[in-house]
Amino acid sequence: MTILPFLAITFVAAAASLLGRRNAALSAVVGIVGLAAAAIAAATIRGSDTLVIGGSQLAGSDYLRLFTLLGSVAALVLATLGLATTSHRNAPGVLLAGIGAAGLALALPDARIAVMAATVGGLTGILVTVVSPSTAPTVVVAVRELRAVAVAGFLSILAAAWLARPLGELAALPEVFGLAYLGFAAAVAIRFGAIPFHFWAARLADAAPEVTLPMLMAWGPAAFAVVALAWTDQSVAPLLLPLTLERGLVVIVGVASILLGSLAAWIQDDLEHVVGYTIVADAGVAILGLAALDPAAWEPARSWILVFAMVRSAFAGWVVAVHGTYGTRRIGEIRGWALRTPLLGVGLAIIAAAGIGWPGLLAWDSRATLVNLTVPGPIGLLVVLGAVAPIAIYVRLLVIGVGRPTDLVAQAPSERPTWPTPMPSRPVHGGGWLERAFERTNHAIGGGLDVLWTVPAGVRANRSLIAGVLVLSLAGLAFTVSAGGLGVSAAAAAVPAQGGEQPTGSEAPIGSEPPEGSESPEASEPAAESEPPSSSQPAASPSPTPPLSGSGPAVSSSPSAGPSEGPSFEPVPTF
Amino acid sequence: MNLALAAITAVVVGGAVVAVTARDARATLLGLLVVLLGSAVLADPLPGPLPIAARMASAFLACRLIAVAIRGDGVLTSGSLLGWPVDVLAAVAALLVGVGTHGLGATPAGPVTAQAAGFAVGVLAVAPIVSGRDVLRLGVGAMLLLVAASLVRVGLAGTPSDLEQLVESGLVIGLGGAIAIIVAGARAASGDLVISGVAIRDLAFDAAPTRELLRPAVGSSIHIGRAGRVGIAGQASRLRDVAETDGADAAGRASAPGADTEAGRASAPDADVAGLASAPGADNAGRASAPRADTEAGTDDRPSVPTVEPKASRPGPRPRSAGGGTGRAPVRRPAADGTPPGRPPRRRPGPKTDDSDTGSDTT
Repeated sequence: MTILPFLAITFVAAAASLLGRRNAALSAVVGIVGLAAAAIAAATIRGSDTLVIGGSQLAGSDYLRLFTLLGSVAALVLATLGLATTSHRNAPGVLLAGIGAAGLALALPDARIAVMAATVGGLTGILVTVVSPSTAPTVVVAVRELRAVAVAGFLSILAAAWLARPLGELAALPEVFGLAYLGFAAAVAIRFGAIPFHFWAARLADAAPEVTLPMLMAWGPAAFAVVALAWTDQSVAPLLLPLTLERGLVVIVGVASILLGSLAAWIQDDLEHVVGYTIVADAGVAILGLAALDPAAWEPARSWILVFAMVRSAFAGWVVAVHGTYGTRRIGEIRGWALRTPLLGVGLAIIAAAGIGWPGLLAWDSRATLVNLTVPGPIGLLVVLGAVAPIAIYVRLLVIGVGRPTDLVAQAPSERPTWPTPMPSRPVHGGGWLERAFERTNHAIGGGLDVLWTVPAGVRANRSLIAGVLVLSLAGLAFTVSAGGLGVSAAAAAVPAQGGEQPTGSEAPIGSEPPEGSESPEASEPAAESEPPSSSQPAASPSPTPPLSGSGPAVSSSPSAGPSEGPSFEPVPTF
Repeated sequence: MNLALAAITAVVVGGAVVAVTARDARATLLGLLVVLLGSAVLADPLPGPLPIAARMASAFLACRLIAVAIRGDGVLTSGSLLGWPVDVLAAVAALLVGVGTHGLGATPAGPVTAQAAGFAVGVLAVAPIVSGRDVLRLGVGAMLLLVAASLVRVGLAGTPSDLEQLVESGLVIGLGGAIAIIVAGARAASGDLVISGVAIRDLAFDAAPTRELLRPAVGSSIHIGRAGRVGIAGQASRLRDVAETDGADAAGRASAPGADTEAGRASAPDADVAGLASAPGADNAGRASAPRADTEAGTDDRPSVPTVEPKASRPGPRPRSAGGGTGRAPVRRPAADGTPPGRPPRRRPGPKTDDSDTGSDTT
């Protein structure tokens, strides 16, 4: 039941914010209040919560709580930054709808429904891509976005449906699993804008407001990727099929995204493009998690997804603050920015540390594990170097930041606290103590009113300071997640609830087991009344265990294993 | 095979054929509505009444949203490039393939008609998705693609649960809304449903540093007080300053208050609209505070950042009224300095400058 408030708040507030968009201030306030309420609701989600609605389950988990909490907080800070600088009136509503759809997708154990929810979340981005007054280029970008979301949804729905049923003789066809796996992985790559599917994402950075970029390019696709990871680990990985070609293709996409994304980010002159391509590069590491097909990749992949989404949100927030302060996104025009706005300088340094990390830090270890599992050897070392290449971007920005300020930077508002008007002095003239007391009370009330009346102007005058503080807080949160704080590692290692509804007139399909903690008798013991063993076991089947009737793959997700252990795939064929 | 389901399959495929081949936008929308309504009941056993009602309501709502975006007389799509007989034959072939491969290698849990219809609709959706420059056709293709996936899913894994039907309803509504936004944006930008090739070519490659082509500089931003002026709106101010400096004699009114970046297009059909910038209510950010500046995609909506114009030597499409949507030839009016309509603005000979902010070459 703790999931419903979060979903209700996000969707209702998103609708209210978007419906009230004619009044920009009201829409923004509704959106920001909604995001704050969503963050509170997300923090109350319990891991053991399950709710059956319409024949399907909504299941809570620690990972869901962390994902929605961090996503809501990041969106809240970004929306507030948008107010302090510049944004779009649809942005708060889109942020709310995006995080709500992501939360719904993660709460649905049935991958067939979850991918639909994640696809809905992707569509919300079009609300901020085509804005009035629209131009032909923005329409082109929106069309590309729509095409990418639709194709990704198509592939993932088909892949999930293909294996979500009693498969029987399908076990004789590893190619079927390979195709389904490849389709789902391609869908994830398309949603992330991974290279070579990056054409839609590359220009999205131009068309969409900066504050929405993390939601459109990181958080939304990240939820999609988490669903794909769960589906892969439940439906494909346990079978130990020889999917060398398919895995190779996915690895190529991941590696290309890491290397070329970092390179593209390096050569860009526009800060938003830098953010976009660093997201693509980080998404490459997440795609490697899909390619691993190894239980050892479960925890690092899910940890990395949280880390990179949070770090890129902080980086996008930094870009929003720089853009708002200096009125430009061009790197060459912001020389000396770190001297003018030192809070932003410290924020970028923290973001760099969180994004790159070092051995022992969760971010570093997760990335290294995923690369080692998929690209061992010297090429793997090259990939690791490519993955940490964004450090060059940060260094470049910091070096530019400590240079001699340009005129644009020198004239920009600084972070020094200021107040728009001097406080009037009110001398006390009273003779007696009672008279002086009245007078002082009167002065206090008057002074309070003065301050209250000046607050809006004071906020405007200190917007650079406010933006710097917000970026610093977001960077701190990103570093906390990157270091493994907030229980990220344990939450990522926990096995999610599996299953969904029972298809009408069929046996339980793959991915239809009861939620965590409620083992079904069919899954826990070989059923005597199950189908006869398939005549042809998968090639990599190490033990011809009697098949389980209509059960899912042999993923033993015993709750007693504790949250620190990932899903222990037993190499047991189920057909 | 259930005859009722077979009949519904025929209706769904027929609707899809109409949706991708019709030239009249209303017929396209009607075909799409038929597909959405038919796909809601193409299952065995049938879903409950509530899920069916939700699916149908979502179908009507999605189509209504699109209908709002295409309202007006004589809105035409580009239609099928192959012609309807080819589309029909392709759909029938896919239908037969769907029947023949029911289950895709394993025991199916749903009706063969659903998978067959899914295959047919999916094949019909490919052409608009791949080659569509018509935004309505492309949106319809996207919708058909997801409906096809849903139908194949029903054919493979059986009738969806109520929650899945509900989420799918949300997907249909969201997709309808997205299509409506894109169609309305395209009509407001070019007065047509077809995206210009120039815009597509300009966005083809992303290696070069970006140009400020895409985001409208003003209009839809949230501005609390003057905060926004330092951002994108401030950039619009600078662009305007550049236009005032560089194009001082281009329109003969550069020194007039409110001359904006459209000064270089003084002879354009809408050149007189630039004078609105000096109207009361216009601020340093251009038209940010002008009434209706960012709330409606009406005929007054136009990009504040100059977009790439086709070069003079390149034969391009005839200019259309911005947001008129009817393709009507614009009324040409004399410019403020009395330049005859249609005559390009003259400038002093000087070095060619490449305005990297606007991406337009000004000489």
